[in-house]
Amino acid sequence: MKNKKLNTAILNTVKTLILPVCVYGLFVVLTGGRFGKWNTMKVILGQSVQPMVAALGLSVILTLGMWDFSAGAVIYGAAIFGGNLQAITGTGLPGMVLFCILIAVVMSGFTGWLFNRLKVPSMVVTMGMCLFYECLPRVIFPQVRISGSLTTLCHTPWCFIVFAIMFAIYYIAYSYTPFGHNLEAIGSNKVIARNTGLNIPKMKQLCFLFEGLFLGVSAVLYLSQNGTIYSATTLASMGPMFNAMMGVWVANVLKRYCNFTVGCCVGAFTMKMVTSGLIAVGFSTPVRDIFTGFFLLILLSYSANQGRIEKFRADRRIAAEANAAYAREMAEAANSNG
Amino acid sequence: MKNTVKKLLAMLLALCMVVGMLAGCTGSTTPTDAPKTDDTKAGTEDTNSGEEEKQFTVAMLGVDFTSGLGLQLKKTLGYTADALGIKLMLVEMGQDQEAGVTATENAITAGANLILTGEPNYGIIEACDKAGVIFGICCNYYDDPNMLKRAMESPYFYGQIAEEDYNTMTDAMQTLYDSGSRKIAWISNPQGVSTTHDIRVKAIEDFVAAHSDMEVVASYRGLSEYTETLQQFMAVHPEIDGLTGSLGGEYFASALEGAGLAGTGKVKFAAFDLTDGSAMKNGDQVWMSTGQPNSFALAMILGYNLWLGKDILGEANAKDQVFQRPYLPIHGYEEYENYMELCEGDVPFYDADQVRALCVKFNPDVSFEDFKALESTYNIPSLVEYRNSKSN
Repeated sequence: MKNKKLNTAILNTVKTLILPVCVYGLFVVLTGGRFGKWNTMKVILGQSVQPMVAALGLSVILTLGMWDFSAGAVIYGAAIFGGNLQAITGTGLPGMVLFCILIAVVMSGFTGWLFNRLKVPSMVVTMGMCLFYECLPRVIFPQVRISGSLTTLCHTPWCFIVFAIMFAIYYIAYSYTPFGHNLEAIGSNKVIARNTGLNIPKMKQLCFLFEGLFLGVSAVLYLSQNGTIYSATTLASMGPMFNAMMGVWVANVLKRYCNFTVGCCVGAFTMKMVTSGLIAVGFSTPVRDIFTGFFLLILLSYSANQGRIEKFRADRRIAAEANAAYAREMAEAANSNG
Repeated sequence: MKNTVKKLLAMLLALCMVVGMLAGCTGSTTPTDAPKTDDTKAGTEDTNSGEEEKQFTVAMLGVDFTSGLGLQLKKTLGYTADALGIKLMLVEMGQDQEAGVTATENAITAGANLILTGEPNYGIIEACDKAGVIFGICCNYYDDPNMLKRAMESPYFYGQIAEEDYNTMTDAMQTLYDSGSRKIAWISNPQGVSTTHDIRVKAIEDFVAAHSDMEVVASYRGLSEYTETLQQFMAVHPEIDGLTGSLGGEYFASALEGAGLAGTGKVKFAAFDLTDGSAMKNGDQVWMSTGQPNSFALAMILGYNLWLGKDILGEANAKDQVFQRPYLPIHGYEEYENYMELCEGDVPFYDADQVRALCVKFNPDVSFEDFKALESTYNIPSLVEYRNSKSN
């Protein structure tokens, strides 16, 4: 029994790591070994932390079957406001972290509150809030520029420490608290969840607040990484969220084999590897975009058709078993006749 | 009650969205923000001297006035408008090209007499021609001959004025080359988004093609994530010893900082636009350029002259061509310090005396030659000399 469990765990780990390992292997081969050296991977890992943390935040919203187009704008807004407020108050790095998180939580919480009150699709509310949050900094602080000493958190080993803390928070909340179980229940079937007595609007509000915490930390990392951030215009804030969104999609595919939290991180990291790998191969930007688009398409197709693929496999298994049983019966009948 | 709250919230959200979208079209006049130097005060006094000047309003359409270049534009144009005694209206329109026509129409409705824009657009030409508002194009040109023809048909067209991108980028590449960079990576906007950026990229490619010992190791054309991409370049290609592109220097400085290469001298970069100079001080940045706001200032003067009846470019038969000006290149930290001292204070590159000398209101004999003559002194050493001579 113990062995079976261990074997399943090993098999699931292998299945979880197939995608990143394949991507890694593919680019190592394509670049003749130039890609995949420790220094390169360290940079990719470091750069993956920000989308990973954002993916963790975003995942709670996507799990509930909603969209949050305003997540990128929240990151921009929190970074710009947070960075400027720390400069005004002279509170340095602790102030920057605190202000970024507070502002992101307030912004996300406000989006959740509006969503609950308006009862319109999340896509509409978050798109509106995206435009609003993009423009808000331009009215007060159009841009932010931080000094080199405040960029510490995006450098190793600090970025990994930040990631470990956020990962632990998410893992515990998702796997060991009623919040996580309720989230999964609502995500699986909203009607049943409501009938069992779950307060769905309250959960949605909590999810937006929870997302805000992660977007706030992501904003700190984004600001540390870039040093200077100009306020975004015309939905430009959605671009940097691409890797985070992909992370969640990959996690949806992988969640049968691993914890959802791990899946999000594997997804975001894989996407970063794809981007860096295409650079290492030497493809031009349009070719890289085409490849990334195809990669996204394949993943989404697989994710959307997972049920059909499983059904097809199950049907084939049942058919094979039926054929085998029929063959056995025929053989037995032939033997008894003989 | 519940429905009323819902309706109110729905209206609030709709209002938020409208405010959000219209934020890109907010107009604000700079005179209150304009630097209050003696020259500026002189300009303001002139503003009050006549009713006609008070009414002349220049509308500057820009992507935004919050970034480094946008802020420079705001300051330089505010100063120039004050020196000429006219009003300035700043109109933000974001990255959306469609917004240009709407912004123009809004500016005309708000009383603009001159539209300053870098966007070649039929809609803008038609709107200005119909309303009798002066227009032209700055830091860009009409590459569509039919559009140029249509603009030339209008008596309100002041001309085309643009920086010489190809030679400037070549100068940047030469500086990078002279600093020892041979394996380079570059970043730019996507192809087709801006002619300016496309020309700069062409200059990079031509320069590398002409130097067999130089090689482009990686390149990126996108709208965001520049810093991250540069870091990826350096991680994947550790042999890179030079970075450049058609974009601002802050991305390069942050990338080097993030990669732990700032100040090591391993990777040099040459990039457009003014930065805080720290990368130039520690030797990472070998070249930067600025000066686009000065071209807009000259466009403002050309447009105002046309309004006053003096068609400078038309008289020189130069309207169908682009009046090309160099960028203001900064080679090294010493030039940077001089620039900051002389141009980033209250007075921009062209002071009130120089501005007025180009305006028919103050100098009836002004001609295209006066504008052309500015080119030879458009560099930091000449500026230092000019300001020193004035202070003496």
